[in-house]
Parts: sequence; C-alpha cells; structure tokens
Amino acid sequence: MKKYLLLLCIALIQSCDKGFEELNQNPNQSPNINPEYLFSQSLLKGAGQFSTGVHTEIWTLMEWTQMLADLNEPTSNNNFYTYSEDWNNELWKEWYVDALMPVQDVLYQTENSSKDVNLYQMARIWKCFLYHRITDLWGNIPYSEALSGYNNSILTPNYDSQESIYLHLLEELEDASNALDANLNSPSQSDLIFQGDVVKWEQFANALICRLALRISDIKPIKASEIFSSLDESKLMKNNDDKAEFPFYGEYLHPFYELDYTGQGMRKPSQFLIEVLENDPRLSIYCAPTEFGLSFGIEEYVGVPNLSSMNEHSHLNDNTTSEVGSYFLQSSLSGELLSYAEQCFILAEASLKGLYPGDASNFMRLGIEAHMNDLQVEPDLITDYLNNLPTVSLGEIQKQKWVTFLYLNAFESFAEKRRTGFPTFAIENSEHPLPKRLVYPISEYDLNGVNVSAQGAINSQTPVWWNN
Amino acid sequence: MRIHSILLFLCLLSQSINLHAQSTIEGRVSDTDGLALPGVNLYFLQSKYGAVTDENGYFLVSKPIIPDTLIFSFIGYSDLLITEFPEGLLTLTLHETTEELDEVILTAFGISREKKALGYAIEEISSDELSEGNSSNPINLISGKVSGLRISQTSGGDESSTRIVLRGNRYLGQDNQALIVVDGVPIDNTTRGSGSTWGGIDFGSGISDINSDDIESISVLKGPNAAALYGSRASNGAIIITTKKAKDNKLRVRFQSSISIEKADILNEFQNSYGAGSMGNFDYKYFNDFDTIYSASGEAYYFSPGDSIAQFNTGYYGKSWGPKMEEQNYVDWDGKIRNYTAQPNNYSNFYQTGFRVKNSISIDKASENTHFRFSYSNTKNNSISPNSNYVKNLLTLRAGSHLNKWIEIDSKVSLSSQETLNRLNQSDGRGAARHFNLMPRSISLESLESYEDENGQEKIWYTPWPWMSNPYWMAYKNQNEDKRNRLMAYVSGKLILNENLELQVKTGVDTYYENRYNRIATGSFQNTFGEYSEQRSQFKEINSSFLLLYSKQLHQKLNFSANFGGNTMFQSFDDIFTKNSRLAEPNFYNIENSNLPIDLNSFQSEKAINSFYTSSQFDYLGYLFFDMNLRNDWSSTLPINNNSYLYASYNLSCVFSEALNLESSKFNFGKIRASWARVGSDSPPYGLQLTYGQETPFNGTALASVNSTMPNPNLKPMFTNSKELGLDFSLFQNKIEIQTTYYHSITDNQILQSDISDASGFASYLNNVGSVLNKGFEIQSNLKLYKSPKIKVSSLFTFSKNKNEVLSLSNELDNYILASHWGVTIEAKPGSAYGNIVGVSIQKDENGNRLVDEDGMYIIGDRMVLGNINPDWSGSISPSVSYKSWTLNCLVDFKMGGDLYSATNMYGMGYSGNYVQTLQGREAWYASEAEREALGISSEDWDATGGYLAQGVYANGIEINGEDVSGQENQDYVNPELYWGQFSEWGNEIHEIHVYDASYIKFRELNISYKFSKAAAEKLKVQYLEVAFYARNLALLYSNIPNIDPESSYNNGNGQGIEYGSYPFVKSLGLSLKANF
Repeated sequence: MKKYLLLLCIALIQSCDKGFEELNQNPNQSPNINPEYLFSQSLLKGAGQFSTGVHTEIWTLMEWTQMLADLNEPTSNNNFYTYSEDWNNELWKEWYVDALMPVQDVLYQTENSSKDVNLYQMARIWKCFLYHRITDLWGNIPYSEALSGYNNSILTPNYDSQESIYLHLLEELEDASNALDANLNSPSQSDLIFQGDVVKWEQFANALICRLALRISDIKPIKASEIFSSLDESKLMKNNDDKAEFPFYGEYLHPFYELDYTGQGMRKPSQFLIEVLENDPRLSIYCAPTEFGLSFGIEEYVGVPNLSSMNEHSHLNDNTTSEVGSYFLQSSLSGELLSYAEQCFILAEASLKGLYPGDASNFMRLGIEAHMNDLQVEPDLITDYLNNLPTVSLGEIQKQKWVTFLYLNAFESFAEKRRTGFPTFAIENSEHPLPKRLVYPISEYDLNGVNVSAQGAINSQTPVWWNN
Repeated sequence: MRIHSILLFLCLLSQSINLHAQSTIEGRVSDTDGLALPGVNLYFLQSKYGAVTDENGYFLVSKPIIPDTLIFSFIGYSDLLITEFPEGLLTLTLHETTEELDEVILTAFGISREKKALGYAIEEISSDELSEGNSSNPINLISGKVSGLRISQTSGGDESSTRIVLRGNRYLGQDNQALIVVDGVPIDNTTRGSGSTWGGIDFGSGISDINSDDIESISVLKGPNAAALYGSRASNGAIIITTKKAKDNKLRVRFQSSISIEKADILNEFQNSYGAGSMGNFDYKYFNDFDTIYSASGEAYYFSPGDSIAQFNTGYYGKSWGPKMEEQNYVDWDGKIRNYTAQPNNYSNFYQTGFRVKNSISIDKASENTHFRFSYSNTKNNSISPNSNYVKNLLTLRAGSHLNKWIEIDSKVSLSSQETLNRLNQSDGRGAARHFNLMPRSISLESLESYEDENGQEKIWYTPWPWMSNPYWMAYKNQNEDKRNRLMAYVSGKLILNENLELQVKTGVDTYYENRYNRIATGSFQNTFGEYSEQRSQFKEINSSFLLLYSKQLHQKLNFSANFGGNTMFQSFDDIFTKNSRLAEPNFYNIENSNLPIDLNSFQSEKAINSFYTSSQFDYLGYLFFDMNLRNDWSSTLPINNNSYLYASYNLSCVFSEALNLESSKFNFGKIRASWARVGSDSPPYGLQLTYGQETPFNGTALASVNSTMPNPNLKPMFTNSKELGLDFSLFQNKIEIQTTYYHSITDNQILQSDISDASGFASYLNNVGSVLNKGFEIQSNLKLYKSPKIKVSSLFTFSKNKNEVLSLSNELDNYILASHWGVTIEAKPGSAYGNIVGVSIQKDENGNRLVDEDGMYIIGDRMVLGNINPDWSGSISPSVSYKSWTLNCLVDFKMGGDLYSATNMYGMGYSGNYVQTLQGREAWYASEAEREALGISSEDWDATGGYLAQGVYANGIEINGEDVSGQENQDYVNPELYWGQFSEWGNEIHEIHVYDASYIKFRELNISYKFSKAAAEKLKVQYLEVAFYARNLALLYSNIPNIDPESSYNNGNGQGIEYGSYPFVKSLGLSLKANF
C-alpha cells in the first residue's frame, strides 16, 4: 500500500509541470519576424525622435546652434548650455536600443541569405549613418562590441576610438555600396526612404562618404584626400530628387511638427537667424512676422537672443517676437538625412581645400540654388540672390550650410560649427563656450562604468577626435 | 463502518425521541463582575447546533438528545464547557482571559489554532473591533490596528487604490503588497491602472469588491513565517479575511445603513496678492482701430487708436508673477474686461460636498445540518469633484450542509458590480489639482464655469499648447467611466474518514471583467476632433486544492497533528484596448466612428503554479508547541529545469508562565516564540525567450522591434529567508497585554528586470540579482486602563520600526531605479535603505553652507541622495471609552521620518508663484526695480535694494566690486520669481528644496456609538439597535510639508516618495444605524 502511495506521489510530482513550456510561450510577441519589418522600424526610429518630452535635437541642439531661443529660459546666466541628464540617457538609448538593435537584427538574419543581398547592404549603410551621428555627439563609443548583449552575452561593451570607428564606417560604406546589385530583389515596401531604389542608396552611401571624409579632413588630410580623389562622381546625388529624407506620415509626423502641435510653443526663431537671413528671400519662410507688428500693419521679424537670461530679455514676449514660419509647421514635413544641397556645400569646401577638383564658388551656388528651389523660392528672387553673393570662403559656405540645416538637421549643424567654428554667432560668450560634445550619459557610468571611465575625464569642453 | 452505522441509528433514534421529549435549557451568562454578556455563542459539540445570548445575557436552547457538551465562547473570555444540564435557570460566569491563552485563531487553510500555540506573530481583528463602516474599502477597517502594517491610499478619494505593506519593502522589481485571502481563496488585488509621471487614472484595487459588513474577522499574517503555506505570493505576508456565516437556528435579519458627507480638506495655502503676469508685469493690448470690449456682465468699453489696456497673456505657463491685484481693469483670458482681483476661494469652491449612502441587509439561519446566509449591499457616492460618482452593488450567498456524519459541504458565491464615473486624473494628467496649482490667482471660478464657446470649443486660459484643460470641461465633457463585474466563489467538501483523519477539497474562483471608456469631446483643446477609447479586460484565477488532516494523541503528554495537501493555481489575464483618435461624427462615442485607422492593442498572459505541501504540529502538555511546514512549488514562468523549488518553515512556541508555574496575580501569562522560514518565489511570465513586438504600421508598412528586455533562459527562483523572535506577556489581571516581535528577513536572488548598458542593444535584462534586508521591531499592546460596571477605558497601542537595507545588486548594476519623476529618482542602492530620493542638490562648502554665485542665485550641485522614503518608525493609539450604552473610539496614527519630493510645491512655487511662500521679497523687489528704472540704470549696474535673499554664502573666487567675498553671507537680492524658478526650470532644476520630511500625526478616526437597551429596542420592534456617529480623516495634527498632505502619492507602486497633482484628502462625517430583526 505504502509503495503504491509513493509511486502515486512520484507520478504526481513528475506531472507537476506538464504543459508549462507551452503555457509560457508569449502570446503577445512573436519569436520570429520578417527582417524587413525591423528594417522599417530602424529607419523610422533613426530618422526622428519620438519619446515624450525628449527632443534633444530640437530643444537643445537647435538652441546651441542658435536656430531657436527660448523666451522663458534660462532663469540665470549659470544655465546656458545645460542639458538634462534624462534626455542624454534617453537619446543614447533611442539610438542603440530603438534604432540600431533592429538594424543589427536585420544583419544577423540576412547575412548569409542570397535573396536579401540588397536588404543586407542597405542595412549596413543605414547602420553606418546611425553610428556616425552617435560618434559625432559622443566621440569614442561602444561599436565593435555593441549590440551583442543577447548574441554574445556582452553586457558591458568596450568603447572604440572615434578614429577607428570613422575608418571602419568609411570602409563599410564603400563595401556596402559596391555590393548593392540592381539586378537582385530589393525591399521596396520596407525601404521607407528610397522604396528599394538601389541607385539612390548608392548615392546616399557616397554622399555620406563625402560628409565623413570632410569631417576628418583636418585631422586626417591624407585619408580625406585619398577618398575625394577616388570619388566616382557618377555615384553622387544629381539633384534634389536624389536627397535622402524620411517621409513622415500619419501617426508618425515629423518631430518638429509634432512638437509645435503639442508643446514647442515657447521656442522662437533666434535673433541670430533673423540677422543671417536679412535680405534673404528665405527669411519669410523660416519666420512669421510678429503679431505685435501686424497689429500696426507692419511686417516685422524679431528673434529672441540666445545666451541671454530671462531677466535680460524680459522686454520681449510672445506677441512681440516671431514664430517659426508656417512652412515648417506642416504635417507633411520630411526629415532631412542628407540633402543634395549639403552635398554641394561639402564639395565646395573640398574644392576650396584642394581635395576635390572643381570650382568651389560654383558648388556653393549650386547648393544655394538647390536649397532655394526646394523651398520653392521664386526663380527671380533666387537669381537676384545668387547675383549678389560674396566671394566663396569657408565662412560663407558654412553660413549657407547652416541655413540649409535650419529646423531640420541640428546634429550636422552642431558638428559643423564645432569643426569649422562657422557660422560666427552674433552673441558668443567666452565665459560659457559652446559645448564640444555631449558628455556620456549617467546610465553608462552606472551600468558600463569600467569601459566608460577608461575614456578618461570627459566634460562638455573635451573635443571629439576629429575636432582635436 | 460499524461505528458509523451505530451512530446513524442513534441519530435516527434521537430524532424520533425528539418528538416526545422536547425540553429546553435556559440560562444567563455574565462576567466576573456580574455584568450581562450579550452575544455569547453557545454550541453543542456533537449535535452541532447552538444559540447566542441576548442583550441581557439570557439564552434559550433546546436540550440535546445524546449526551453532549455545550461550549460557551466569547472573544476575550475563556471558553466554558458544560456537560450537565439541570432544570431551571442556569447562572454561568465567563472569565476574562488574555487573548493569548485560549483564543482560537484562524491560520492558513482555515485551520483554527490556539493562539498560544503559534510561533509567529499574527493579529486577528474581529468584526466588533473593526472600524465602523466609514470607508468603502474594507482594508481601511484595520488601518492603525496592526503593528508592522502600513496601509496608504493614493490621492484619488474613496475609490482609489491602497498600498498594503507588511514589515517593509522586500522586492526590488516585484510587488511588495500582502496577499489577500478571503475564506481561503486568494483574491486579486492588483491595481490595473494608476498614475505615473505624465498622468493617468487610478482604477482602484480589487479588495474594495468585498462587502465590509460581511466580514467576521481579519487575520494579519505578518511575515513569510506565518504564510509559508500560502505559497510564494504570501512572502509579503497575508491578510486573511473570514466572512460571516449563519451560526444558530434563529432567522436573523440584519440591516445596516450609513450616510456620510465628504469635504475636501484643502491644505494649499495660496497667496492672494499677485495675479496673472510675469516679472511683475502685465501684457498690454494696443489699439490701432476703434474697438469695443465687453465686461463679463455685458458692459461696453470703447477704445480709440493709440489706447492700451492691460491684458491677460495666454502665452504664459500659468503664472501668478504679475503685478499686485488692486482691482485694475484688464482684459481677462476670455477677452472680457474684469477687475484684476484675488480669487481666494477659487480652488475650494471648485469642490462640492460629497455624499455617500450605504445600505446593507443580511439574512441568515442555521439548522442542525445546514447553514445559509444571504447579504446584499448597495453604496452610492457623489464625490467632492463635480460630476464624479460611483455605485457599487455586492451580493453574497453562502450555504453549507452536513450531508451526513462524514460529509460536509460549504459554498459561497459573491457577485459584485461597480460603476464609476470620472475618476480623478493623477499627477501631470488633466486633473483639477494640477490645474489649480498652476492657474493664476486672478482667474475666477465664474470665468471657467462657461467652459464651452458658441462653436462648441473648450474655453481655456492657457493656449500655447494643449497641456491644460478647463476642469469643468473635464468634468462635464471629457468623461471617463469604468465598470467592473466580479465573481468570487468557492465550493468545498469535507470528508471525515475516521476520528483521526479528514479530507478537505476546495475549488475557488476569482474572476472579473472590467470595461473602461474614455471620452474626449469634440472641441477639446487637447484634441479638437475628439477621441474615444475602450478597454476590456478579464482576469481569472482558479485554485483547486486538497488537504488531508490527521491528528492523534501520541502519548499522554504529546499531541500530534499533520496534514498533507496540494494545490493547482491557474491565472490568466486578457486585455484589449482600442482607440479612435479622431471622431468623424462629433461627440458620438463609438470606436468605428473615425476617419483615422483605429488603434488596437491586445495583451494576454497566463501562468500556473502547482504545489504540494505538508505540515505537522506537536503539542507537549499544552505549553510547548512545535510546527514544521514544507512546500514545493512548480511554476510555469521559470525554465523547465529550474522551475521547482522547495521551502519550509519551523515555529516554536513556549508558554513559559505555564511551564515554569510563574502565573500570579501580577504576571498572568508569558510566552516566547521563535520562527524560521524560507519562501520561494517565481518570475512574471514570458521572460525566457527573445521575442519581437509589432508596432503601429507606418503608412501600410509593418514595423517590428526587438523586445528591449533581454530574455534570460537561465532564471532561478528567488527566496526570502526570515527569522522572528517574540515575547508576549500579560500583567495585572490581564490589564496590560503586550506582544513584541523582532524580525529579520533577507530576500535574495531577486528576479529583477534591471537596466543594462543600452549599447548592449537592450535596455534591460531579466536576471537574478540583489538582496534586500528588512529587520525590525514591533510592539502591540492592549491596555485595559479602568473598568467598572458602567465605565470601561481601554486603549490599543501599536509601534513599528523597520530598518531596511539593500545589501547587494549585481556586478553590472550598482543602483536600481524604482521610480522617477522629472529628474528625481527613487533608487535602491547597496548600502542604503530601499528608496533613496536622488536629485540635484545645491552646491555646499565644507561646512555645509549653501553656495550662491555673484547674482545671489544658488550654484547647482551634484546629483545626490536628498532623502529616503522609509519612515523611522510609525504607530498608532486608539483609545476607547464606554459609559453605559455609549462607546467612544478614536484612532490617532503617526509616522515619523521618511521623505517626499513634492512636485506640487515645485510647480506651485516655481512656475506659478501661487503659494504664500512666494510672497517673501516680492514687494521689495518690485520697489527696487521701479527705483532702478526711475534712475535709468541697467540691471547689470544695479544693486537691488530688496527681493529674495537666498540663504547661503558666496562660492570661492567670487568678487563683488573687486573684493573677494567668498565664504561671506549672501547679500544679493534676487527676483523671487527667479529664486523659485531655479527649482522648477525644466531640465535644470535644483530638487533639493522640495524634498520634505513627510512625518505626520493624523487624527484618523472618531466613532461614537449608542446601543439601545433591549427594552427600548423592542419598543421599536427590533431586537438590536445601535446608532453611531463616525468621522474619518478629521485632522492633520502635525506635518512638515506645506500645501499638501504628507501621505500624498499618485500611485501605489514600489517607488513611493514622489507626489504631483495631489488632491485634497477627503474628510468624511457620517451616521450609521444597525438593526437586527
């Protein structure tokens, strides 16, 4: 009897977890996924920030690059160039977790697939674009060991030097763009940027190579010269139709529009913006005349000064300062990744430096024309403007470049200002100089302390490698 | 078998004899002072029927046929057993005892144990000790009555959720709340929906589905020691609720009714001197045309070109930093000319007097073989917030029967239905509390009351972006509504196999459906097209168990009992959320009425745990007791090779007063107890495998993300190891009864979803990390201070001190964030107590002086620990006085220490300048500015003659007029608006100032009741009648936080210590009536 009881007990115990494995299958998330869905996700998340309340590009970098200024802040002169820890953590996370991890998974899934060659190469190019944005902000970053938490159990990835990252990105871009094959299947629906157009991806990769080469042209002049001299012009963008931009739509509207819709309100065009665009047909596109002026029938543009505390600009208010122009407050606004105009300015500077054959002044004119056309400026106003251009110089090129980045690409604007010192802001404050980078997020010191600490003492005035 | 046949025969025989020899037993029961004891239970042990003594202690019960024992039992008194039933009136005396000595207490599985036999701390509160029905949430009935128990309610009124924590926080990543068990069936008390940083609604907790009038007693099993047999979920302790059942063969109808009024207890001290504006100024409206503006009453004002008039600037974040309110004419936010005057009562007048009515009725009757009870209650509440109310209906049916000598069945069905309209928006949601915290002091309630313009659009004073709503629009147009229907039921059977062996089987179910509807009207400022969402969820838990009980006297001196059982638990949750983000036909709330794609999210989760357990008890001579429990769980959420975990508890109790013969008139009782337990616990489901989540498609293209929590296929169960030691004693004829406990528990191997470096590609990782220690000391004492035939004075006193320490986390993680709110985080860091409040400090010198810069503003310091949420100690005093038929009960509870970050104060001072604290230096600053402007001197060259003087010294290297002033007392006046602004400037704020000590003393309850004498009651044709006046949340007697209640919190999660947008706590006063027929 006792024996049977014991056997019964054992039988009962053995059946105690019957069906548990099935029960613990997640019904809400799939264990497999089509890599194209991940690719689309990465393009979307890499092209714009969507977290509530966190908009580093718009709320911070656009102020730092003096595109926008805030009427109600800062309260004190100590608070110039402050940057919230939360946002810093969030931006870092958005790039690594939300944008890079899906594209990395695409690479894992398509690496050895013969039918997904183009998807694989596009994912490589896109991954380079994302890493370049990250390293430009933070310098040395986790790269070779990054994104390997699950696959290689690397929870605390090592940091790579920006130099090695740049060199690897340039290699990758060249490799990937050469490996694209227009005869093979291409992801037309999931490629939200170029709809699977292999040629446009090649152009994007090469324009990106130009951007990166120019960025290192002071610190690695020989490398930059090699790249520009081996450039195949036929693989570059030809006109505005070739530009890389993200077509925000529906529930995913451009963050700049979203912010205005839900709370950008207090950010105003800067005083500097209005000075730069004086006598420029683009002024009325970037700003609206003040309501105060309009009540007297006057079309007046007033910006808010940067680097001025609330106390110092207390004479200004919402009605007496300009709003952002309505062109930039439309829901169909696209996210700029790399424009044809920018490519023209890059080549202009490269020619000016003798890295690339051609007429710098012509490249600059091409860039301005392309940008004005893109904004639908009337042709005779464009001609007028181009006829009165000053002689080409690094300062002029950078000023024009800054204008093309207005409201759409503060990441590049911040990088270019740091690299060249241009444009010269009307108000510069030697006591509170422009940061030369973002400091590493606190989350890295908390969670990857050894590796981040190995980068040495970093503060906002520590330049990144290419800015040394 | 033979014995049973004989018994059956006797039984039948007895029934036939019964017809002939019907006789009764009559008597009166009193205490040692000769006072009548009403409500004493008497019960025949064999025949299983009984009665209850009446108002004057009299009873009448029919005589049993077979030889039987009649037991008299009454709480607080020793049981009296009689076996002889002489003719005539029996006079019986019950002796008052310590609770310890003989009280029988309900422990796990509904097994009654003598309290003295227990080796761990347990507290039982019987129905007559429960606070009177002045709260719709039954858990509030024991608030302040049990040491070591902290009950806190979120800032959302009567129906908001409660946090129930016993002996401190153990888990970093999982719920720390006690398990609720009703009649042996675990009840889901999860708060599904609560406030977070950016808003949200608190949807209450499940325990409010229990009718408080049904409760017979509540036992609190404080530690894992006591709860080892309820399994993992009881590792936070358990609240065991036992409901009433019919006891005697008399048909009883009980009726209870209560009516209460509720008032907002407003602690906000608003300033009434300065109104809308900024930097001490208005904005002005200039005219270039002839124009007419009307006042609110329709009076016309005419303006010529070149005229100007002060006007409200709708562009400011609600700010009361304008000029002094002196009845100036100005154009108000709605475009009407009004006087610029203070509106001292605009907040308090927004709230109304709330009203709650509860009626309940119960009918019960038992016979020799069956018992039956039915109850129904209905509660209606109109909240203090306009157009906010709920209705609750609870119905319970309990019935059971002794089918024969061997088989007993018992069953219960409870149905509840709750419907709530307009629960309050918490935190940064569009709630009234946040609204008035930010709204300029010059805006009148009248101007807000017309909340809709002629085009059906919402009228609101703040327009730059839609983060603010008119509170009346929120109340009458943007309504939320929810309904919950719940079934809690069980059926159990008992099979008596022989005199030593019994088998119990039980199946219990708890299931509810919840529907939530959220309407945003067309014309709302937040979405002019309107929105509508629906959420439907279903929760289900089924527990089935068996238990084999065995007891035997092993030896003359040694009693032994043992049991063996098993349980299978299955739990599922299903949720569908659909949202229409744009209403096609205005104000028609239907999901399909949309011209945008409809959002749809569905979520499902399932989990099962199977268990076997055994326990054995030894009783040596009735003064030495030893218990041993073993349990093994198999959980579906752990890896298959690691999903089984065994745990145990051992308890020892010794009544040394009896063992050593120490009892005297001064020392009546003494017991020491010791207990050790280890309880295992599992993880939430689906953490073992990498998965991909699908997102809202982009323009027809599917999107998918990699789950940002890295899975862990090697998870292990986690364990709590706990020890406790207690000494209970009573002195001076039991006038002083004291129970003391020391406990020590460590929860380690914690399953935690902890952050990892984002560069790994994942934001977090599910892993076994971390260890948390809780140790503490509890005292519970009952003092019977004075007693005479007419007057009784007694008091209950509780004291708890818990010390908590996070012992370790993992290698990668040296800090775990429990919660965060705009830069302030609540953290668990090894070496300090659970719940550090971390934020940005003010820089200090080596002597701790705050440092200011050359402008007299604070210098931003490092992020550091600014406080901790754990109280140093807490306790309560509840005195009770009775005089003849009158009884008065009070409850005062207190908490000392424990900090709170108040974002209400941060915004209400910094942004809006609405509180009296912001008045300091304002007048002087504006005077100084006027002087400066009159002299035409620029700000940089001017030394302000007045303003706010920040407390602190100049930092190193600061020179004023060429002189080094480092270390000297600050002399620079600043604009108070900028002074307070440094604590609220988005992204750059200093948090230190708004971390407060959240100690409090509260006068929580007052209850005065009157019991009618039997004669008076009978005149009114009732058997028993009691009326009472009660009050709850009467007064905040001590607090160190301005403007808010120190208990404020917007959710009941683990990250306490943060509040924003807190509502006033509700003070309620009421009358109740109890009548038995």
